[in-house]
Amino acid sequence: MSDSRTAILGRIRAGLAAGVPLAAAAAPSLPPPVVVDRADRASLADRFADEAEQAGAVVHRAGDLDAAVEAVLGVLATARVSRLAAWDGADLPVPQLLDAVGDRGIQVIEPTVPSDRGDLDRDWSALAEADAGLTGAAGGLADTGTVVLRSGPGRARLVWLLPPLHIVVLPSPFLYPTLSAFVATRGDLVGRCSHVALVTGPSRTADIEQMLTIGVHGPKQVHIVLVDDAV
Amino acid sequence: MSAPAAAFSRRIAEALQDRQLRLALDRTTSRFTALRAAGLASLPDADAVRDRARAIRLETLDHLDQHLERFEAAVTDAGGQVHWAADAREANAIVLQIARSRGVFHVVKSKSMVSEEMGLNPTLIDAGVDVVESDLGEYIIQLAGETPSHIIAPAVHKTREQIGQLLADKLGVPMTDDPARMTAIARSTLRQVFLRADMGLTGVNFGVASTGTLAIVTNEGNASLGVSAPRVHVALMGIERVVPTLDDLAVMLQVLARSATGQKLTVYTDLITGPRRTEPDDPDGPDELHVVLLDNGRSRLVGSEFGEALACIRCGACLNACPVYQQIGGHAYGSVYSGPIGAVITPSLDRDGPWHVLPDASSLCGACREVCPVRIDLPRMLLALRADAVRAGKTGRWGRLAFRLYRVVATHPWLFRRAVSVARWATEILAVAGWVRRLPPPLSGWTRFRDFPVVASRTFTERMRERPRRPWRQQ
Amino acid sequence: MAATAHTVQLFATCLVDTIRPLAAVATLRLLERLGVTVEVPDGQTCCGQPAFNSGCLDDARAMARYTVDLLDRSVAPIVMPSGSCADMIVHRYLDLLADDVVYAPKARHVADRTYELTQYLVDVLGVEDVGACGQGAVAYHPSCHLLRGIGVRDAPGRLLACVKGVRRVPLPGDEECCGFGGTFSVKMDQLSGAMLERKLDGIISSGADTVVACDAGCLMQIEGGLRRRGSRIAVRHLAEVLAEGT
Repeated sequence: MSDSRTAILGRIRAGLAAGVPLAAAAAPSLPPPVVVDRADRASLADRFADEAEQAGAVVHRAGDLDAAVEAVLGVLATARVSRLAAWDGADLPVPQLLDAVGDRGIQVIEPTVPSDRGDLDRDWSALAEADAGLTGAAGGLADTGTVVLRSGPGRARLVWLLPPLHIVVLPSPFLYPTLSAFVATRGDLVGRCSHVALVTGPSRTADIEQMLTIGVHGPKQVHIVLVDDAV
Repeated sequence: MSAPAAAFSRRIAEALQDRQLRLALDRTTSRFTALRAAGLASLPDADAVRDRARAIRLETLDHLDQHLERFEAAVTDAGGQVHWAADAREANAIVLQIARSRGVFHVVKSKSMVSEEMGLNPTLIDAGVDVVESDLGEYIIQLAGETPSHIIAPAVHKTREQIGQLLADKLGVPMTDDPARMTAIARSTLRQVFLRADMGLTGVNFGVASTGTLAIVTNEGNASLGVSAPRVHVALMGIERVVPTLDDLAVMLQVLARSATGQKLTVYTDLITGPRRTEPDDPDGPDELHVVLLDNGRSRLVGSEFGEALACIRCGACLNACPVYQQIGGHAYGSVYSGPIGAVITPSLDRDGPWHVLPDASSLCGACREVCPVRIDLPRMLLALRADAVRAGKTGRWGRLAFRLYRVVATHPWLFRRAVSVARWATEILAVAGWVRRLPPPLSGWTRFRDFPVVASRTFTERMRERPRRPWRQQ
Repeated sequence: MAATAHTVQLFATCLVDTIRPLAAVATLRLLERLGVTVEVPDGQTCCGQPAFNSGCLDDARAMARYTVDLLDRSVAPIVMPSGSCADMIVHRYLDLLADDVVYAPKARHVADRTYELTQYLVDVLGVEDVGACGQGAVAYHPSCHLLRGIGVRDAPGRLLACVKGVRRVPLPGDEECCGFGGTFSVKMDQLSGAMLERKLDGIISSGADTVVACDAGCLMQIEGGLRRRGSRIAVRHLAEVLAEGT
């Protein structure tokens, strides 16, 4: 296999040495990513909500932490959720949320904890039976209505992938105008975490006669609670 | 006609006679082209972004070896393993070896054109490893025992009735032609596949050299599930799919989905860097990540006149815009990659195959170059491939003779005038009411579908020579 | 509106010369009416595009050299009633003759002053109203090499809009290839025929009584198809429409 590595790199180098470069001039530059100040944050939140809804998500605007709790409980009630998969409380931007959920008689499912060093039992059936998944987010991208979800302890990916309903609690200070802006500021997350997902609306396909169907493998519903005054 | 040309001609004829295929293609390609136009219209400075995307791809290819080495180092630092495969055979062996040594019997797969190139599925299945496609379109064609007919919409050639019947036959479910019901059936069937699989097999849209990150885009979420539930993740990547930095990735993502389906972003973009972290432990994600880098002829294109074709980001826009693809679809090409990009890379990657006929299936209209997000000059390369085929003696002797003759005639104006007189005489004899209904071979193809005009009774040259105008002025 | 002090060479192109000479006659008349002095170099044959498109580069090169010699005898700009031939000379000749020490500079000299007719009228002469008049509903088919090769998008429409008495109708699928493609039309006749059917459907549904284009190849393809269908829709080169009624 390292023979192939040598051969492949060798062929590439030989081709480059013998040929003419493809890029004629220096790469044209784009304007640098926009840095958002507080005054723009309101319009950023409006833009995010608009784009997320166009992508098929439902956006709830919450003015404070209590309103955020109410919004989440409201979604859970409407969807008649009795089993909720959730990220660890420490990873949800609203500290009292899991207690409030528990108070409503909703069973909160813990994702599997590693049984011993390095081994997961990989029995996802409990998560697969959850009616909904509740997460925070590392960021939101306003120009596309995208939430950024990073993996880690207490932040299982399958919490938001397996259940048919995904509720994301996103503080508005975590909004960025574009992906380029997010990368410029928080690109370090991508290298550190094994998985960073950019999620834009619920799962969809148009593979059958170009007719759009929502909810293929990922969630059928995505509700985003955008908390305007949090953290 | 050579055997490859005759076979291609037959496949074209079959496609053109398949009314349902043509309706499906018309519906799909016109929808995609409209969506793409709207998607780019919503991108501020779309031209500047495309220029930048092109520049990123070309710069990457000009330093491909360095970027690949950095990518390998970064993937390894993050705890992943990189394997280099010179060709499809070797790549298959690598995947099989990983599967065997990890006790993998069930693989869940998301869409990968590289895996089609490798012929991976049959290799695994023959070795007793079960492989199930999770992308809905790919799942459908897997059940049907077919190959994809479009880079991003693999089942574009099938009607919902056909799909409903397929699901009923293969899964034993009641027949339905409702896409929502069919999707729900696929969702619950494939859910079990995800949860039981030992290995997730994916493609890679872009590999980021600076961080070793794999970027995978889907709308269904099947890749996200496939890289999170099973204990092993194997990612298949063509060596040309690397980009230097995350900033560059962000630019590429701005044009990829818009060019393919008009979406600003696909629903899911998975950015994967290494296997799951331990100490403290991630609660899910694979224990191992393997990246298989596939060459299969690509390295030979670097630095050649076809090197630009490696800039392709597999968005499918050229297929949707191509008036030939719109008529015949992907299967008629007979190759893994179809449409304008397929007509260039297939004969370039496989010089000895029967693919030199593919570049002939183009009127050189330039629609492909116009829609390509990275502005690849496909018509230039189609022409270069035609010239290569002539030089290699793969084209018909009579055609080359005819052009030799034409060249002699066209470089001797008195001969040209004689030839015109002969052509006039011939067309006048053959004509009925001013139009020729049947031309003899080798020109009979024209009159199969339209009438041919009679050469003018007085050509422009003849008129100019009849009435001399002011004498020629030497400068 | 007359232009002053312009001299051009008229390159008719092989298809116009032999199949549709009235387009060249019209081009000549049109330019002279606008005050342009028109030279017609003797010995014009073919720019070599058919050989080039078929991969016969040696033959194409020979025809390119011949044509370059023909057009380089005078320093006057070159005008032709064909987008595809203009594209060949402006863009392809330089690639073909890049390694020819003698002909590369000559080819560049020729390429730098070669224009398709509508491009010349609007961009060089600055004329949109040539004083023409006509009648009926006209659909315009933009040929691919004119549209995407030379990059002429608006000029033909602007010229047509000033023809009094003529009403332009939109052509569904106008920017789609008609399927001519030179030798493609014979070599891949099934595909060419299928693409032609689509173009004809668009033309017929437009309600036009005349379809107009700037390339004789497209006109041959379209007219041949309309006649086979028994249609009475007229097919004309834009030059013929612009030279009319004056």
